Amino acid sequence: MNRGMYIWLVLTAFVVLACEKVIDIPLNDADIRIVVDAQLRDSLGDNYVRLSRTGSVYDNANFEIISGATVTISDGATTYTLAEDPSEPGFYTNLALKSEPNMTYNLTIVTDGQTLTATSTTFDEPVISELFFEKQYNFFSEFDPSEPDSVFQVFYDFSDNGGQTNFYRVRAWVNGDEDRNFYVYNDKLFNGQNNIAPIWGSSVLAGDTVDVELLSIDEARYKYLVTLVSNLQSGGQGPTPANPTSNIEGDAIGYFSAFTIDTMRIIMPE
Amino acid sequence: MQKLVVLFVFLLGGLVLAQEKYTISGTIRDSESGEDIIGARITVKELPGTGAVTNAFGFYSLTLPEGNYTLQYRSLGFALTELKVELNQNIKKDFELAPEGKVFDAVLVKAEKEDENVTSTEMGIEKINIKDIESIPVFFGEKDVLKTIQLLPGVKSAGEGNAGFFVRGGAVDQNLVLLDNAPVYNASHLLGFFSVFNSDALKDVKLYKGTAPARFGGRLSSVMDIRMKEGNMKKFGVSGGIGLISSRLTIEGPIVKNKGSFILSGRRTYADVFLRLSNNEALKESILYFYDLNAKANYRLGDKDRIFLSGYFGRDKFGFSDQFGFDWGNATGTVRWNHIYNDKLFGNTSLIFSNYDYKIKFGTGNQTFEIGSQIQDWNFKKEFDYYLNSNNTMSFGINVIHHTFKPGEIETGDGIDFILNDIENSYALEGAAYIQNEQKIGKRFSMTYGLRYSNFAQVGPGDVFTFDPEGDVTDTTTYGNWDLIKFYHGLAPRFSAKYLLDEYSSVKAAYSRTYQFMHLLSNATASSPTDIWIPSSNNVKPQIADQWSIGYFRNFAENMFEFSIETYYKNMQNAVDYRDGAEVTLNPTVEGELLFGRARAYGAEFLVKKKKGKISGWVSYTLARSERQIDGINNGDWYAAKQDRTHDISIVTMFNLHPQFTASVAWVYYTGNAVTFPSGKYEIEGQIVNYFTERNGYRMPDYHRLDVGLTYNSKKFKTVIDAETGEEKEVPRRWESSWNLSVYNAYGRENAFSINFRENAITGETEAVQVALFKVIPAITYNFKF
Repeated sequence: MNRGMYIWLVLTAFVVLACEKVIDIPLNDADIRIVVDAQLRDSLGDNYVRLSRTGSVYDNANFEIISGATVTISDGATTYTLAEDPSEPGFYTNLALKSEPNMTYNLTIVTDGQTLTATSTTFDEPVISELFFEKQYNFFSEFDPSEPDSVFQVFYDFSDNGGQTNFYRVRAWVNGDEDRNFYVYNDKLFNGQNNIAPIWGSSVLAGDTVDVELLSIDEARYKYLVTLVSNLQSGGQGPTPANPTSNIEGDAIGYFSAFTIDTMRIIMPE
Repeated sequence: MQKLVVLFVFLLGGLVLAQEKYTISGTIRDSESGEDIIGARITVKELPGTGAVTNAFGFYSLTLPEGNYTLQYRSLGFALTELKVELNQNIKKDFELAPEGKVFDAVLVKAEKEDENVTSTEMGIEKINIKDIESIPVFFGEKDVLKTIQLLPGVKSAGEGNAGFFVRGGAVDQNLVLLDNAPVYNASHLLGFFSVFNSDALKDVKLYKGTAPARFGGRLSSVMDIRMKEGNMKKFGVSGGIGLISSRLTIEGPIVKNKGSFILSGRRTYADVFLRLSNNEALKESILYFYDLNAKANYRLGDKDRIFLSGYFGRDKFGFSDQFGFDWGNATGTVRWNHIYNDKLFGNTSLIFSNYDYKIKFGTGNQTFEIGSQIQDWNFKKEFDYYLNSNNTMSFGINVIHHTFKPGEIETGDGIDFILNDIENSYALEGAAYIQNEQKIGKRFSMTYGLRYSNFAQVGPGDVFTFDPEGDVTDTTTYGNWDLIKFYHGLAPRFSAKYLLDEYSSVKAAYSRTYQFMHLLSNATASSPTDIWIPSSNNVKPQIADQWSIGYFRNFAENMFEFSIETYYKNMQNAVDYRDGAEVTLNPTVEGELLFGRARAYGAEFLVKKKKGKISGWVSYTLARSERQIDGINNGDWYAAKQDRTHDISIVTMFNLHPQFTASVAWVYYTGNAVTFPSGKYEIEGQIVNYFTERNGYRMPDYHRLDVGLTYNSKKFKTVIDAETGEEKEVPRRWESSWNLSVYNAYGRENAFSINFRENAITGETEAVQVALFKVIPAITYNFKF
């Protein structure tokens, strides 16, 4: 993750007395695009392709969904058809499908007379070596008596396969609520070694349960996530925001990602 | 280019016609402090239009036909002084000028005729008198040259309260900021809200926005030449100030009277002192401050030699308990030897060191990570000023710089059993040679023409990458120590001319080419401590700019009012911008994140200045465009650069209504920066994501702000009864003090620092949320001097 930006924000918060307000900024309406949200995980039936369309910035978030598309995923040998969920239009899945390590998957979508395709590759199954925690003084308790005196910092430690160029994403849930931060890595800095890093986006208190998921992703998905982060940080400061780098071929935005995962849980002491 | 050289030789050749002439030369100093006066003018009453100007070390040389002359010595803020000479041999004449308004018994004639803006050949130049900035209202009560300079035409602030600046549509990294000739790579403290320049230690500030003298090079847009004070040659003095944010203390004095002097100046902020008052151990161990230390000493070895040592050291430190630490800062050092070879040739040899680094530390005990980044220069300069005759002043010299770039060094504590790979260092050698002549032709016409040859060699050791059009590495080549990786060079001509229309007006024109071999990568809009400098390489070509400018200068009412219009057009090659979603920090293949194209900037600058009287100040207005065209961004169409601002207005007024009170008001207005806002949105993975159609296609809201200041000065003189004559007389007080009260953003305008589009937690609708940093900020500062 972009540590520089984080530190920057922390520091900024320290020094300034910023004030926020909602203002009126007129925006143009872009041409409507198809949005592909497609994931293939390594457990049976744990896959989906969600098809929708873009909308206007100031409209409500009821985006138009795309029903009746033909959606298939092929591993080179077998082609699986993903059927639309009758209870959730625009959501396509196949219960007999899961991702395997070191495979290439091809997604094909036919809708509105257009064909959209995408390819995603899996690597070796990732391994979380351990989760551990440190008890730390809670800085904010100094200013807010309702804050607990101490918080827990949870660290994850995983090893990298030195023989492959790997890309990772870490997701974390605290008592079932997902940490909204993106922890995305390439192995340029730690090829063949362990990577230890903290989960800093959520506050973890005594007795909390923390679940961590380590995803081994491909480069296209990595680029997508990195550019998604700069998109989400859009504003007058920070890097210039842009659309995430899509791996969909055809007139659409979004991504298709096949990946393998490892999970681990840790419970904080009371 | 060959034609230019021929022209140069021709112009010079025609001038060296022998005639019986003698030279008067020397050094001009301030009679009170003994400091050299930069840019003092010496004119000859009997020969209007003939004269000389002192260089950065107060040296002048004037060659005239044999005869009797009345020389007039003048400089801004000093009384004009006349000297009658009989010139029948070469004369060395050091001279001291008395500050204006001081009680003294020398030949005070009248205040300086301030028409330099009209008569000088230089254009696109802004000079800041350090004394002037004291009366301009300031942010948090910290007077700051980089803030004051932003109130001048063609210079724009990089953001709210920011010490970073844009010159004529150029980027922040296109400004060469020099402190006693040493480049300062990151001139800001505390997230850019304060500059690293403690004005107590400064003597002279010049900003070249257009055609800079040939001795400067390496940046496209501007050169900011800052000179530190040398220290009082005559007596010891202490001055200082106590403010809300920081306190300052300066000590200066002679080492040996009139031979050598020193100055030591320090500044430190003290926000963290309040943390110590906490009864919490972790907070007590937390730090948040910055400091600056300026030191300079000089000593005259006989009549012809002088040695200077000057240094700057400043750091920002931020740390929370023992869990997190972040500190950054600059260090510069200059050793300089001035030598007067003869009455016409002045030489200057300097060895300059410059360093910028930052360190970020995470973790506790032996479980720590430390990320560091650094840029370091060793720089050798040999410069000469040759005063050929009263119509020609030449300068020439050479410059060699060794650069070391350390983009990312990662250290881990003993408790961590794996190693994170460093980002490889890069090394480069930068060289330059230049020659320039300032020539007067008749009474009305003068011109300055010069040529600078610049080169840059990226050298090993290191791995060099080759990228495909998508920015992915296709090939890696490893180089050994001092292996040449890539060599760039080019000729940068400079030309400027002035034609005096009448006594009060002139037209000027200038052209220059500049090369820039170093590029700043930033993960924020404004200057940030984690910005990284990278050298030109096999992937990154040098940036090249050609600038043309013309101007009209006119003074009114006996030089009471100055008026000028300057227009410029700047064409830039190999402009750098980022790919969509570029990763800049800790990326070993960061060059793959860059895109290259061209850029252009053009505009008109208007300035009306009232220089004297009870009410003084200026109005400046800039109308400008700054655009880029880069394949891979906005379909290769021209688009507005971030710093593109159509209108920029500053109005600064100072009221000297009472001998002890000075009031000041400054108002600024500018068009919002070009910015990228979404034109649609969509849902993916349960998250609302903004959809963008073009880079920098929108505008931030207009910015405006009013600052006010009030300064109360203690009485400078006291009345005593002369013991002998019994008469009352005024003598200067030893202790001088002042109170400065300022209000930043007096009408509390909420100027947008950032605008984010996000969902309202209750209604679920997308809103544009503006963050404003500062509303009304009052500040009080106490200054003293004895």
